[in-house]
Amino acid sequence: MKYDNVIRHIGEGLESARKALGALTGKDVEVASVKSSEMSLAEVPFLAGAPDSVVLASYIRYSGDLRGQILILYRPDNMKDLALALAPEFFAELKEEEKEALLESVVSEVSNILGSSTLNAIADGTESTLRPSPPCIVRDMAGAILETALVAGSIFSEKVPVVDVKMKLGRTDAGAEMIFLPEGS
Amino acid sequence: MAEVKQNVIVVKLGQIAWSDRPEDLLVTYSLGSCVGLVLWDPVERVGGMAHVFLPSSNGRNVSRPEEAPRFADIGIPLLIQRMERKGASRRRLVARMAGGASLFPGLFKEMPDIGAQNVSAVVEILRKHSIPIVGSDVGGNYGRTMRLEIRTGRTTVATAFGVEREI
Repeated sequence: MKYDNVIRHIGEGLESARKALGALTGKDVEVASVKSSEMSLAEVPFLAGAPDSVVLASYIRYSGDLRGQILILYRPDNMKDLALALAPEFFAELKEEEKEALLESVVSEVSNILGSSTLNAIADGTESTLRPSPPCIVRDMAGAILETALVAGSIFSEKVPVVDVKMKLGRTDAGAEMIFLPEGS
Repeated sequence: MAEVKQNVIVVKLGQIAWSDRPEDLLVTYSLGSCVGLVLWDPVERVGGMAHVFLPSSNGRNVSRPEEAPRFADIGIPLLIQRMERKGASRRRLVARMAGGASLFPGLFKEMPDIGAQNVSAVVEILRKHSIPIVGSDVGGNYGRTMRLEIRTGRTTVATAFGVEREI
């Protein structure tokens, strides 16, 4: 089944993303958990915890030989640790509004690494051509973002295949949650 | 004043719920392009809520009962029916709605705006059933959480940015 193949290659992509992020931050990056499952459609908005909790998210859709969506979610409370790891020299000196702008750049940068590493691994491993959309950054309720992804992917079936990955940066609370929603599996 | 204990009933994506118990609070979280619909009979104090996922079943064979409420054209009549069994009268029902947002505007220009389509479908179905819309907070590009207190019929909408208001 195509879907099983995709999951296997997601693992390879995560390993390469982990190394790239580790090199960039100078800290250990840990893949804390990888869960793949088929979950009820109604439960998908609860996947990242409380559905009304606010997250900063990067959304990538890919098409081509395979179709699917990748959501990379960051908790705003933990974002500063990530920003400090990436840009320690000047983050502390920034004004609050400048820090907000920097956090979005951090999300964009980290998401590019995570997204491109995993998509490249899926494409190479399955010998497929994939066309990713430009990443879209949005700050809103986690459940609303997940719900919108279901609609965008025309995912209406009772059981939805999902791969949920949690990554952690060193000994900090900073990390990201990557959610893969393969389509047409 | 004594604290009133509330029994929270979560209406998840594509589900409906209804109640005549004063202690119940119906809540539907994080509406994005979906529409949250509240129906309320102010005389019998029966309330219902739907989390509408898509505007129409488009002739899909919806055989599983849990799938039916996902679609506005099936879910809303079903909710009215269930509320009537609790003593509500469709002639007295009033509606409030929230959601129908477009969280990633401009990203998929080739895609239809499902949020706007959901809003139009709900408005049209309510019109067919002669149910007036007395409160609404729809559109925009942000998520919303909707709550209905059965004790009072009070309906509120909250956003991710800390704003909560009664509609």
